[in-house]
Amino acid sequence: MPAKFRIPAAAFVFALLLVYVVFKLFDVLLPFLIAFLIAYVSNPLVNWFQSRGFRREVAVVLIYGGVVLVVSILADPLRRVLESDMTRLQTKAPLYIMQAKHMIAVFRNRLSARLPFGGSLLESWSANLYAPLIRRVQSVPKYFLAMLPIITYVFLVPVLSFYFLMDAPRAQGRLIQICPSHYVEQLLHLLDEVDVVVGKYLKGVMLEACAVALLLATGLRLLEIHYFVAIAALAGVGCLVPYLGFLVSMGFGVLVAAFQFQSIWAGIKVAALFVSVKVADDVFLSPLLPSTSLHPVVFLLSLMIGGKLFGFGGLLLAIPIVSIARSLVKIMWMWYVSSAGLGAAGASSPLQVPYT
Amino acid sequence: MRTIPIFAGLRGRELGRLIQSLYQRTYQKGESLFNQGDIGRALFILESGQIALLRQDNGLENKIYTVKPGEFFGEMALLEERPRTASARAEEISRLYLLYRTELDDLVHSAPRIAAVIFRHLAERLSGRLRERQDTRLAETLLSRAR
Repeated sequence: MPAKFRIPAAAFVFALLLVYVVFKLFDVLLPFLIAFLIAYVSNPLVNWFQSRGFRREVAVVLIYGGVVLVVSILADPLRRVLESDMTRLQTKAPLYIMQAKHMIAVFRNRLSARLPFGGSLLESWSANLYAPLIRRVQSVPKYFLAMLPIITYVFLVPVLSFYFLMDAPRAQGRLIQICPSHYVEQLLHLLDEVDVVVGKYLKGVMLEACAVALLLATGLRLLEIHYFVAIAALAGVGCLVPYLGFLVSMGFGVLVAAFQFQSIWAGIKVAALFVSVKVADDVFLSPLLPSTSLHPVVFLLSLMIGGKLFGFGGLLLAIPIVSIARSLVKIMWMWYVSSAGLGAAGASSPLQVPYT
Repeated sequence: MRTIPIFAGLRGRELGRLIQSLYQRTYQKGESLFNQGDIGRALFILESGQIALLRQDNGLENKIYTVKPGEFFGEMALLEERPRTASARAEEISRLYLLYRTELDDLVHSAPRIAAVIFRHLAERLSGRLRERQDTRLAETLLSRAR
């Protein structure tokens, strides 16, 4: 192998080994990943304080003090409300779904009696075709509850993110120092690309999740729907799982409303609320937010693979990981093209255009 | 950092903001920073040490310049992603700051005054080179006519 390809090849093999280790130790690594994401999101604020003359240690302690104060006031009541709402939803979900199946069967019978033909098709249609889907939907509150212990990593995650925040510049400096001298610019290119991709995704998703959760909480509260906090939180978290998250949270909202008011129209109002918020998000908010610009097929495939391999954590991390992998492949291709001299000739310089 | 000419004119807080955009690395004697023909993406600013700029012509490597502390090089990478026109090698243990291209783009939006100061220094350097080249060409033309 030519010498100039040895280090990139070694880096590629190392990346594959890293993926394998992460796959095997995902449960152990999850709090570290969450702490890293928290530190990543908080880093610009620390840099802001540093640029104004604060020492990094002081800036981190100040920010942590503020966050601890806010979290200690809000987190426990919010966690209790969410936990109780989700537990009640989990208990009532099979009942809601059974009642929904009954309503669908009644509707199906009425419709098949009125249709001149095709009634036999409807007769053979059975909600049992969707039984696996319904079982999974029933389990959504259980998945959400399983996430709550993540919130109770109250000692581990803050400590980890504190150290990540404090030592990030030093770690970056060490990485640059140990990188072979000839590859420093390529390493900076890589770090920059990963920073852009992860930053875009986090900012976009977090803003979208907060906006959607707030709008829905307000709308559901106005419609006097029970468990509006839990449903809005589910919808907010659902923004992290594109397409599916919206449908599942809307499904829960519609079911809860329909059986709370014993009326299909209540469910329709909630569905209309969800659709309006989704449309407002797509039309007004999403264009303003940075996006990962992945093809929809790649997007869905990444989610399915991430969910299959790593469960809910995989669903959350699938898109940023695939976006980073895409950037890495793009950069490695650019390096190969530039080092092999394969690049297309550049556009003519403006100086070559005759003066007229 | 205030003593580095490319940062002359920046105030304390601006230097604090700029430091966050710079990467620092120490190169050992003999280490190569980049080779002629590599696509460049960063400006190098020498804080201490000595860097040799070398150009390869017809298989021979000639030293064209020795960079001293406070000077910068590799500035063309900030303006266009083109191959480096020379190689850079550390002649002794050297401490450098690197300003990566996208960091400068970010400064243009977030701290335009800092970016303007840096671009002004780059423009002065390019203007000086252009003037030197024109003077050299004029001298060559006059000499050839005299013959």
